[in-house]
Amino acid sequence: MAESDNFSSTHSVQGTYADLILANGRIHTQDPANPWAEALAIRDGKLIGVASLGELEAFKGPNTRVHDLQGAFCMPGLHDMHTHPDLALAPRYSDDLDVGIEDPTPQQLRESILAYADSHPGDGWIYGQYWVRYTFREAGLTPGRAWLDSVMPDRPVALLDRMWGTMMVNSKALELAGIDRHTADPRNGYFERDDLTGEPTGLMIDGAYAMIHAAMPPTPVSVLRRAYRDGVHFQSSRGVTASKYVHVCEQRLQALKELDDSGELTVRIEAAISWQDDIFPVRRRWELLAGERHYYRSARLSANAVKFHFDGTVEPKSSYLLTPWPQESSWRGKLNLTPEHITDMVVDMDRKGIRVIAHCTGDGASDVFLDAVAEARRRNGFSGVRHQCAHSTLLHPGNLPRFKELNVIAEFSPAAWYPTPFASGARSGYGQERLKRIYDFKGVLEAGGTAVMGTDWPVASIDPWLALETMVTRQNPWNDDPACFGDPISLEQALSVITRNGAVAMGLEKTTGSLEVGKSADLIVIDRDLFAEPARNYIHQTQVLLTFVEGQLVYDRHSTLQALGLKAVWQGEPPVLEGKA
Amino acid sequence: MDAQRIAVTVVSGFLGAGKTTLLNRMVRRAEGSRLAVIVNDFGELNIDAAIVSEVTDAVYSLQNGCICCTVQEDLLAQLASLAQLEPRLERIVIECSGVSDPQRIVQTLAYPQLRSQMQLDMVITVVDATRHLQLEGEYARLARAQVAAADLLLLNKTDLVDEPQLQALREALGQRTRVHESVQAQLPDALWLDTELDLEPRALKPLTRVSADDHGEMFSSWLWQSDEALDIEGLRGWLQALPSDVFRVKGLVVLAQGNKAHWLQHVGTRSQFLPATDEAQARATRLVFIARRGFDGWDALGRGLDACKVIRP
Repeated sequence: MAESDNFSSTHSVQGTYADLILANGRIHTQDPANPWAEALAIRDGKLIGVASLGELEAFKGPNTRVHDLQGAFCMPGLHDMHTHPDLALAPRYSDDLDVGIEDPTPQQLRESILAYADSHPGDGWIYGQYWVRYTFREAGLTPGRAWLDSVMPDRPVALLDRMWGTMMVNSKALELAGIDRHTADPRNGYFERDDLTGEPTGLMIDGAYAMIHAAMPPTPVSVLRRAYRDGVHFQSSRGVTASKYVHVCEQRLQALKELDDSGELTVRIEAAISWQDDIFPVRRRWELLAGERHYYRSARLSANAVKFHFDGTVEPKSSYLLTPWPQESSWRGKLNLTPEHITDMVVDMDRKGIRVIAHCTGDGASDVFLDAVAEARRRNGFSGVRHQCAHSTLLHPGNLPRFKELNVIAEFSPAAWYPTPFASGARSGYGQERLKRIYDFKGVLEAGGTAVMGTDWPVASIDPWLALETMVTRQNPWNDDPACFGDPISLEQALSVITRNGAVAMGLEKTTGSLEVGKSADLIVIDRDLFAEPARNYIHQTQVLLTFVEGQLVYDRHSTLQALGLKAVWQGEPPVLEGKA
Repeated sequence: MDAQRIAVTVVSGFLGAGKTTLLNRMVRRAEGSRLAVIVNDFGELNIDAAIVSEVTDAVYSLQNGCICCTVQEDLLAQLASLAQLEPRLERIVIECSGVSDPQRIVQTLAYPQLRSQMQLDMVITVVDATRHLQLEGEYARLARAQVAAADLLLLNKTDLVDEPQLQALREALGQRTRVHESVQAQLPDALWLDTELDLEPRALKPLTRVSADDHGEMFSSWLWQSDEALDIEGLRGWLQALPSDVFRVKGLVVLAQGNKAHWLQHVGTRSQFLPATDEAQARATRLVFIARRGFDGWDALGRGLDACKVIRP
């Protein structure tokens, strides 16, 4: 017989004794009333004692397991409040066409398409990469639907170009996507047309990809499930107990639910439904927002959030700023939606109890977003939902106190809050004056607001310890370059950011984020005392030894607790998901 | 060719190939025309400060009327704002980074926001005769992409290589590509600047020489005219088969399909058609060819066009 459900409710029977006692630790609790402890007692997934070992004697019964931490550092689990394992990993796991040649000639491309079609019979899409323009040019051929039709006339084909944002599609793909000479171009791209007839040539440029993606079957749940499984495996083994997967659709929620049902969702996940179709289409958006999202709900999984892209990014200068970009007389960047759209949406979602997570890199975008939240508060009162300003790359100084006033979470992503060759080049686009106040943790915290961290993988590393160290140093973690981006915060502040503030951002501040009696046992044991040495080149090397979520042992690096009869979901070294940065 | 649209010349070429020398020549050639040059680094151009008349928003206005500025991250926005300048620009020259594929910029120019205001005239890639064949790996791939994107190759520094090396380069660059050989990135005006189109019907033969051939010009131009409409597929086939000594074809064509007049611009191996708006000009087909001096295939070209004629009932 399978393990029975064991939920707790008002009249549940509670045992007297602890299931597990962790003893002899250096326990950093994040509870201001009781900041350090030596031992923890856990029963039914919750902390029933946070104190000295002597004080916990009473919880020790005949069946209580006791684990000696031997002085190891223990703390609440980490909170990564913005990341995308699906976007990083699913493309690797999809069984798409991979030509696998650096400069395929049209002939090689043709053979590759035909071979894929043979091994994947039927009438389904052939989607993959890469082709290159210059081999077509050298062969005296024109890439496009005519050429592709000559290879594969009756199955839809879409192939990406190696370097520069072109997708080549055949007539069948255009037909399925409903694209002809009457179709308008998207705002962020176009499809090439014949000069004389206006008919699409089969080359889709930049944002026009999405028109084809919309007609393709979604990424299979099995692929997404594998991506999320590897994501939570990594996160658990790096001490993350709660995370936000920002951008989901019904397929992604199904994949997360399957993981949850199979006991492998070892991180508490808040999944944010995409408001726009710019990354992948969300076919059941309105059903999900109306209530279908509750179908996926558990202690580990919630989809009570919506994510949207309000402005762009630094590199193409599409972040929306309050004043023009350096060396520009009037260009302030771009807003993807009107302020009226965002205001009505925030008011409506707020009333429904759905958290709005708004991508705002420029100070102009966050200004408009905060105005929208102010309007929601005025109309709805405080709904109890804290909305989230994602990335918050640049904030107007006048907005720092508004995070507290309006109950908005300021989320910062480490892509460029410390100097690297990439960050120094890319972010220099903002100009020196703006660079000084980039990712202003300190400003938000000093104004009483809640600041959190989101790794934003694959834009930056998914490793939370790199983010933690660089919050404290704001310097390159791998060398001794003295350059520093923005204002550092103290280790104490950074630990609050990555634990209890994260819990606030999840709406779980009564459940997790600190080690207090009555809260869930979401905690980690690590290989070093974080306060023992200067942060630089120290904190990011931290190894996690144990991770618990809801009192369940989800990660046990050296299988230490197996002797007590506790088997972790994940064991051993963390999986390698990314190359060295 | 189309007065409504600003012509855009894209200059590409590997690091050290001679792009800056070429751009410098273009800036100096700008006298009296409304030319804007977008470069990677204004300092590299080595413009004498004395001839800079005004600097605003990092845009340098020169006394000869030329405007220089550096490439912005958002080229789309930069071009859109240049298109608003008054008096209106005639031409914009854009320098690509030495280690980039010009295709990116070519694609930007075709964005719907720009299409009605500017038109790609040609992509010129400067090729370093001394180094092109020695590039390896990713550099070789980039150089290949630059060559493939070009409507015209300026094979530069030919004085620094011997004849067998030149021959090897010509072979490597391919038969189909238009190549002009140079020493110090000299680019004849006829290859990149618009010559006035004389589209007045002539009572002469269908095929007439319109340039003098006697003062050392490197190129000659001819006019072909006809009152008959042309078959589009036939014309496209004819354009694709043009000999590589013919660098440009431009003018008005009346197409049998729809019986409408279009501006035709053909550079290298790339053709563009735009509907002609001026009905008064839509009466007959008049095409101007620019070819290397000494080209002797005119009659064959004329016969090829004759074969495209569709006799109207």
